[in-house]
Amino acid sequence: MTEIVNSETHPAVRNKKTKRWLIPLIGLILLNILVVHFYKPIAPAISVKTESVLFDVLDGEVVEKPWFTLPLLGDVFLTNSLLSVGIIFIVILLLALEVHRQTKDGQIKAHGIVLLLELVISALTNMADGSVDGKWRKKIYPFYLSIFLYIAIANLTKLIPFFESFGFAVPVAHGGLQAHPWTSWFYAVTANHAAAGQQGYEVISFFRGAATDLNFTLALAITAVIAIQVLGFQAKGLDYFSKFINIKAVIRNPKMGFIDLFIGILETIAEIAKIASFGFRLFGNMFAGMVLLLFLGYMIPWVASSFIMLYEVFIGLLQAFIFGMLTVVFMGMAVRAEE
Amino acid sequence: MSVEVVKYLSVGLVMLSTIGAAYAVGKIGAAGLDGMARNPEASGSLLTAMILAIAFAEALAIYALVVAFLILFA
Repeated sequence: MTEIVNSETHPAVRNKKTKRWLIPLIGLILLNILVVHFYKPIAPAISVKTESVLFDVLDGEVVEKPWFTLPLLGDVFLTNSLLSVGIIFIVILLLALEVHRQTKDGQIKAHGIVLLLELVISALTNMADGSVDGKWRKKIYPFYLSIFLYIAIANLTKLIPFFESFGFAVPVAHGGLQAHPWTSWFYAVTANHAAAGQQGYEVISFFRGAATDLNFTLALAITAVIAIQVLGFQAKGLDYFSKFINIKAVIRNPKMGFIDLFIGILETIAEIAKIASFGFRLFGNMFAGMVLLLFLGYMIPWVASSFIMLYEVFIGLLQAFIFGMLTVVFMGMAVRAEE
Repeated sequence: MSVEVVKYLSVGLVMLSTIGAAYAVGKIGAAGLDGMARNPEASGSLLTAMILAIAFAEALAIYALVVAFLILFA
């Protein structure tokens, strides 16, 4: 509290504070230019498919090893996006523990990260109040807030330094990039292409942004759409499904009822299209951001990608908000009583 | 024409759909600002509705982007 008062009343103090920020900033920019001078950013190898971090190298080719095998569904791979989902879980667990620690003895004054969470949650619920009836808020908001928190943290994990640039240097059969062995196990892959007869390498990163994996976004989308149907069923009972197969209208009026039946088919298609629209919107935005960052970092190695990173963080939070908000709007529509 | 050329040409053609999304987003933004200027008290709820509508319009361009990525990298 005192700091705010000080900086408002004494402009000199504020100036001194802003200048203190400049020194590490200039230092980081110089470090950036220096590092790029010795190790140029490598040309990114982009794949829509995520890479498995468990693999064997056979005759210079990478063969992915399954993590474990499920009886009916087949092999499950430990991919690098799954590892970053692990990071998200750890972050959310730590947040939950902190919230528990601060609120267990009935404390009203939250501080630090819990205060931030409280602010975010109250802002989000205020925005959603218009689209949900009062008595359903208790059931719908947990979905909304947990979806927002999960996706927001998933999109913020790319702020961790070296998130997508550390990985296994795997040998490739032809082409690939030169690598400098620093120690027996630590290689620096350089931007130079491997000469003929030289072993070329490729990087499989340990982590990859969770939302740049189609499995993650589609799983969330399917969960959200199923939750919408379940809430609609809870609100209206079996009547809810007359939206999809309207037999009642056919019995009541055999001639015109078929129009309602046809509308039911369209509603079913719209429900399935919701999954695609939820999943691909998040995936497309985050994957496009990743590709943009990787290529920009390769083409303009100095400073510029920091600003794009700032923009990407904003886009990530916005997409998390949109995913949650759309879920709330659809849930609100599903539970609303028709007159 | 080689396969590579067709690939890049088709990516360019697919991304033409951004014209429609850009038109829609511009229209929504203009209408939203119009509404906020006329009724500043309602700007909070207008902003939420505007962002949602923009998300719907933008989704079409994102589908095209996903198709383009699949053509390029998959």
